[in-house]
Amino acid sequence: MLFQQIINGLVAGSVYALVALGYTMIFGILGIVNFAQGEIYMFGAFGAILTLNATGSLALAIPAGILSACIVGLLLERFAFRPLRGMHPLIPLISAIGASIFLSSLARLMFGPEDRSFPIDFGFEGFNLFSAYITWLQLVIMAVSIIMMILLWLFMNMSRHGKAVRAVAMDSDAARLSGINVNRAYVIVFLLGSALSGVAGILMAIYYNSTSPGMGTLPGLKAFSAAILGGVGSIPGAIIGGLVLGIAENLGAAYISSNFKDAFAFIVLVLVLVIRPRGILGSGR
Amino acid sequence: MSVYIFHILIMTGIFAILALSLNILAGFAGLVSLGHAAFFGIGAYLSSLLMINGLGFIPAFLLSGGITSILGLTLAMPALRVKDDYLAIVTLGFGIIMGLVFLNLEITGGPDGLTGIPPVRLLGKPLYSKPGFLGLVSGILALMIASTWMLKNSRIGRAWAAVRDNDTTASFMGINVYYYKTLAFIVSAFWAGLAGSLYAHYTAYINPHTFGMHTSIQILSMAVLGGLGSIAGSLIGAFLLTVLPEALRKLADYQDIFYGALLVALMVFRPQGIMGRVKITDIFGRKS
Amino acid sequence: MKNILWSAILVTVMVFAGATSLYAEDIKVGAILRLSQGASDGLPAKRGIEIAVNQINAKGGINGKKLVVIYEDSKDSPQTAVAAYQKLVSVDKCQVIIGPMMSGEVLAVAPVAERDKIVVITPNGTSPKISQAGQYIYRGCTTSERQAAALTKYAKDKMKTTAVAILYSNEPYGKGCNEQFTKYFNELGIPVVISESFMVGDRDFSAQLTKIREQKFDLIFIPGYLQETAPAIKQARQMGIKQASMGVFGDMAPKYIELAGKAAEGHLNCSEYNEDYNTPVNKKFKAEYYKIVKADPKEPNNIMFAAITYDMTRLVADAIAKKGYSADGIRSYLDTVKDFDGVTGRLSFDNDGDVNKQGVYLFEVKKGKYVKVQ
Repeated sequence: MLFQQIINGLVAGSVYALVALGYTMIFGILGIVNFAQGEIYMFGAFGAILTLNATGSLALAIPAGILSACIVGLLLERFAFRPLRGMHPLIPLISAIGASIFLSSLARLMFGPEDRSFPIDFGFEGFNLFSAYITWLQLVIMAVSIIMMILLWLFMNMSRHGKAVRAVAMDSDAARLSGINVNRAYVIVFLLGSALSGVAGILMAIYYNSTSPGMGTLPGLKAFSAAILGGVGSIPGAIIGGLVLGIAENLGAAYISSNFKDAFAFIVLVLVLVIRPRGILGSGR
Repeated sequence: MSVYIFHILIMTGIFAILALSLNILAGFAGLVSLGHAAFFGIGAYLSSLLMINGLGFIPAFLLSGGITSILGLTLAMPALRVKDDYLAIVTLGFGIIMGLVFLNLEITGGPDGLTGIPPVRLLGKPLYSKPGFLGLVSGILALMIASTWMLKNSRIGRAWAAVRDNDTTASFMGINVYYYKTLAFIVSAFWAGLAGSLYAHYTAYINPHTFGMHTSIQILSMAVLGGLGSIAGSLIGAFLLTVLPEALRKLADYQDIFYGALLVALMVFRPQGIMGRVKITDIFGRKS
Repeated sequence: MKNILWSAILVTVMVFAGATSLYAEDIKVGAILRLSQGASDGLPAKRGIEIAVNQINAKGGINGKKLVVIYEDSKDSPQTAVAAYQKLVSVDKCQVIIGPMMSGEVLAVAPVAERDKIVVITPNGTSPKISQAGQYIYRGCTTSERQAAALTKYAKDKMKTTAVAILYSNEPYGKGCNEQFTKYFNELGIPVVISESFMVGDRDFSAQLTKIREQKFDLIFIPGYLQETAPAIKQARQMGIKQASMGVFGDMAPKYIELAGKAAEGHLNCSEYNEDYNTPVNKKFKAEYYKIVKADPKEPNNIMFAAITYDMTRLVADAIAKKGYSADGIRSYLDTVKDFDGVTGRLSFDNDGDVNKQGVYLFEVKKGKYVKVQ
C-alpha cells in the first residue's frame, strides 16, 4: 500500500506542480500573489470543453483551452495588476482576490453552475509497477509536467526574451536602462504563467472528468503553497514543492487520518519553512 | 427595517474590531496574516464552550481574549522565522489547520457546529435587544480604538513602525525585533478573540464555515481597503465591505461580479487605501 | 474626508432604496436559497417555488391577493443567511421563509427566527439538530434517519450485504449519514469495516480509496453531494474496487450518471421524489419543470429539489389562504395539516416540525437511467 500511496501522491503532486509553475513565474518575478491563478486554470478547462463540444476535435480543443487561459491572464495583467506595479505586494493581492471573485461569478453566469463532464472518456487502462497500479493518464500527467518544466527552463535560460524576463526580475530599473522593454517582459511572464495553468486545467478536466466554476480554488491554494515550499521563483523548486505536498497529504491521509488531509500539506510546509525560511530551493530575492 | 440596520451595524462593529486587530499586526508591525479568522474562531468557540459549561459572560469574554492571545504567541514562534510572502503562507496554513481542527473535534460539534450558545448576560439579565448589543459592541470598539491609538503613539508603536519599515535597521538601533513582533501577535490575537466571543453570543450558533479562509481574506481586504496603518481606515473598510454585499443584493445574480469588480477598481483607483497615508502623487511618481 | 462621508451615505442609501414594498396588497414570502455557491441545487429549488407561485397566481392568487416570493442568496454562508433573513423579515415584512438549504445556515437562522416568531421551512437541511431547533422551524425533506432505515434494510435483505466500507463527505450532511447509517448497519449485524472522509471540493480520493481497497467488504457507501460522490465512485472503479455501491439523495440527478459514466452502473440510492407518482398535481408539475429545463441548456436539472420547494410553497399558500398571513397562523396550519396532496407524497408534520411522507423511494442505475426498485 505504501508504494501505491506514494504514486498517488506523485500524481496529485504533478498537478500542484503544474499550477505552481504558473504561480512561481508570476509570483517570483513580479512579486504578485496572483490569487486569481485558479480562475485562469478554470477558464482553460472550460475553453477546451466548450470547443470540444462545438467541434468534436481534441486537437483544436487543447490550443483553444490554452488560448482562453492566456486571454484571461493578459486581461488580468492589463486591468488588475499593471496599474498597481511597484506598490506594496498587499495591494495587488487584494486586487487579485477581487478579480478571482469576479471571474468565478462570471464563469457561473456564462457556463452555468453545474459540473460538466469531459466529452471524451479516456478510460483507465494502465499497468502494474511492482505492487502499484498506474494508469496511462496518470503517466501522461506526470510526463507533461516534466516536459513543461524543461521547456520553461530552456526558455528562461536560453532565449532572449527569457533572459530579458530574468533581468527584469533582478532589477527592473536597471533592465529598463539597458533597453529592455519592461512591459513586454511582464506580459511574457503572464502569458507563460497563464498557459501553464491552462494546460493544468485541461489535464485535470480530463483526469477528474469534471469542470466547474469553483474548480480552481483548491488547486490554486495548493499550488501557491507548493511554489512557496519549493522557493519563490525557482522552477525546479515549484516541481519539488508540488510533489512533496502531494506525497505528504496522501501519506498523512492514509496513515494518520483522512479528516486532516489538507492539514498535512501545510504542516509539512510550516516545518520546512521553519528549518529553511527561503523554501527548499529558494535563494532569496 | 430598523432591525436590519442594527444587524448590519452590529456586524460592522464586530468586523471593525477584527480589521483593526489585523491592522495592528499588518499595518503597525508589517506582519501580514492570511489566517486571521482562526483567532476569530478560537475566541468564538472558547467563549461559547466556557459559557455553555456554566461560566458567566464577563469571565468567558475575557478568557476567550486571553487564551486566544496565548495561541497568538504559539503562532508567533514559527511565524517569526519567515518574512513577507513566506509569513503570509505560514499564517494561511495556520488558518487552514485550525479550520480542520474546528471541523473534526468532538467538543466543537464537528461540521454541525455549536448550537444553543447562551446570550450575553450583563447585570444578571440576558441581552437580546439589538440596540443594546450595538451599544456593547460600540463600547468595546471604542475601548479598542482608544488603546490602539495610545499603543500606536507610544514607544511600542514607534518600535513597531521601525520593525515594519526595516527590521535589520531596527535591530541595529537596539530594538528587540522578536519581542516586538511577538507582542504584535499577542495584542492582535487578543482583540480577534474578543470579536469572536461577541459574534458567538450574538448569533447563538457557530460552525467552522464562518472561520474559514474566505473570512481571513475578508478581514484583510477591510484593513487594506481602509488603509494599512490607519485606525479610521479599518473602521471605514469594515463598514464598506459589510454594507456593500447588502447593497448589491438587488443585483441578484450579478452581485458577486460587481463585488469583485469594485474591489479591483477600488485598489486600482485608490491603491493606498481610503485613509492611507501615502500621497497619491508619491504613488504616481513611483509608477513607470 | 468629505468624499468618504459621501460615499458612505451613498452606499447606505443604495442598501435601503428600492427595498420598500412593491404593492401593499401583495403577500410577500421570503426564500433564502443557494443561488451562487451551490446554485446547481439552488436553482432547481428556485424553479420549484416559481412553478408553484405561477400556478397560484394564475388561479387568482391567495384570496384575491398576489403571491410574491423574494429570493435572497445565502452564498453557502451562515453569516450571509442570517443577514438575508434580517432583510426579508425587517424590510420586506415576511412572516415565513422558505430555506435556507444547508443545515449550518438553518441552525444559524433558527435561534433568531425562534425569538422573532417567524416560520422557517428548510427544504433540505438534513441535520438531526434541526428537529430540536425550535417550534417555528420546519423541515420539508425526510431526515437522514428514514433514508438510513430504508437503504440499510434493502442492503441486508436484497443485496445480502455482510460488510460495508464508508467514504463520507466531511460536512453536516455526509457526516450525519456516516453516523446514522453506521448505527443502522450495526443494528442489522453488518459491520462497518472502514470509514474515511473527504472535503467538499476534493476531486482526488485515491489516498482514501487505496486504504479502503485493502479491506474486505461487499458494499461501498458514499454519502455526500454528487459533485464529489460521482468522481469518487469513478475513481473507486478505476482502482479496481468492484463491490456494489450505494449513495443517498445527493446523488439523485442525471448529472451523477453523466459525471460517473459507466462507474454509476448498479449504484443504489434513494430519493424523496418519484417522477412516476401518479397524481394530476405531479403530472402537471413534472411537465412544467421539464419545460424550464429544456428551454436553457445551462439550467441545472434536479427535479427532486424543485419538487420539495414546490410542495412547501403550496403548503405555505394553503396555510395563508386558510389562516391568514401570520407566522402563528401558518404554524397552526402546518401542525394540523393532514394528507396534503404533494408531489413528494401525502404530507403532514410531526411534533418536531419534520415532514411525514409515505417513505423514501429506492432507485438503481441501470443502463444509464435511474430505475425504481421498490
